[in-house]
Amino acid sequence: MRLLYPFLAAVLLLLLTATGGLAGMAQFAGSWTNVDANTAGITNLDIAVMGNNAQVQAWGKCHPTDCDWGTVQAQAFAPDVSSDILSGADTLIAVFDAGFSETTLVIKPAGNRLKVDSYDRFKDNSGRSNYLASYTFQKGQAPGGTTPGGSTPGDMGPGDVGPGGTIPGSTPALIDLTGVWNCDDGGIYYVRQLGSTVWWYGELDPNAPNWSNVMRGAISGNMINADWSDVPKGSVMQNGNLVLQIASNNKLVAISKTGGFGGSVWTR
Amino acid sequence: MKIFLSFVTACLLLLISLSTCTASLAQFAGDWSNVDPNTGGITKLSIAISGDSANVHVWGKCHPTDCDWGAVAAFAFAPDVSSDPVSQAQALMAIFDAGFSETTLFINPQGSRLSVQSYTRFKDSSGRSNYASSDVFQKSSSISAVGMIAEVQPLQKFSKLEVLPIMRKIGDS
Repeated sequence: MRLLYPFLAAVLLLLLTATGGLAGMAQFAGSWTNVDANTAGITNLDIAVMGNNAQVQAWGKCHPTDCDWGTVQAQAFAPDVSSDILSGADTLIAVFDAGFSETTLVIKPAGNRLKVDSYDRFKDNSGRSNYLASYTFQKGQAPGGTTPGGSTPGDMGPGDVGPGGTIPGSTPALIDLTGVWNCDDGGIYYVRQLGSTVWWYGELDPNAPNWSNVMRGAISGNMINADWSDVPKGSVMQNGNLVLQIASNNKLVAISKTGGFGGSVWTR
Repeated sequence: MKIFLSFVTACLLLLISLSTCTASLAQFAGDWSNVDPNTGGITKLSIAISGDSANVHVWGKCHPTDCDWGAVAAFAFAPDVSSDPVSQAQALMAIFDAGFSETTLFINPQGSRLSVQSYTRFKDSSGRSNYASSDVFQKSSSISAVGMIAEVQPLQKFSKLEVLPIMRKIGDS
């Protein structure tokens, strides 16, 4: 009997940790790998958390390299309608629509892992059965990812999205770009991030700038697609587009730019 | 030691029975009542099966009688893409759209009961938090409560909701 009570307590503790309690948004953030290295389903997840928003990127098993399902905005759920999502979220739901099928992922923390139930529903009248699969993920990046054009989509998931896959783990998990940045064009940029939208005001000199510009961009994965325009604090009047890569939380790199934009690397 | 081993065996059997269960679609059929008579959420379910199709009817807690959420066609999920859903369905997904919110139910058999995970997402920019809840249902003989069609959420939770955005604004200022 003396053995029974400690064992019972241990089992209860194990159950509590395994089933998960309150979890904030931050607990979902990061790169996750399926604990089953031989899975035929989802191999990797990247979850980027920005405030109350979460973006989920998934990779499915494909040959010779895993298929990039792309990135979708996830819905976060708290235990109660009056709970704070940021600190109390305990579930994410992400829906990947591949046209012929739709996959709904229900993602829950389980200790320091994630439990993911995947509901695959076929929409193509192919006669294939909708099916449910459950996976467990642990933190970390799987060796090898997709290479541009290198994947063969399979039938088990939404399939490859676009010709250019990315390597799992390349998306910054916790992004907050708000702050004052320096650029290699000599300017100072005042950046504000609101969810997946980024704004900035940049100028060469606060008192007598030769140029000054504003930008508005949308974050998708680790990229920012933006429009920029000079404004008449300075004398130069140009505008164009920018594609920026979020190299880290403290570094942005211009991948493409139009309109004669000068800067290429931002740091803080 | 015998007690110890017996307990371990019982725990393992319990965990197995709770976590994985392959069921037929017919196991979902019938009228189901929440085992918690004081629930503020879903009180009753009525699931009709016809071939490989399922129809889920839901009632939520309302005063003085429960609210009828209506009935929707549900998706059945088998364990595998080649499985027969009629004989092997292990989950149903039913989505109720109330306009201002959308509630998705994931329904799984749990022995002779049903485990229902409910995810409610607000679409009205009211500032209310999306929330999840979990309930267990047991077979009931009949659905007796018939109420008016009303907002999908329980009144108790709504009363909290309406205060929140104001409180947040006051807190912000």
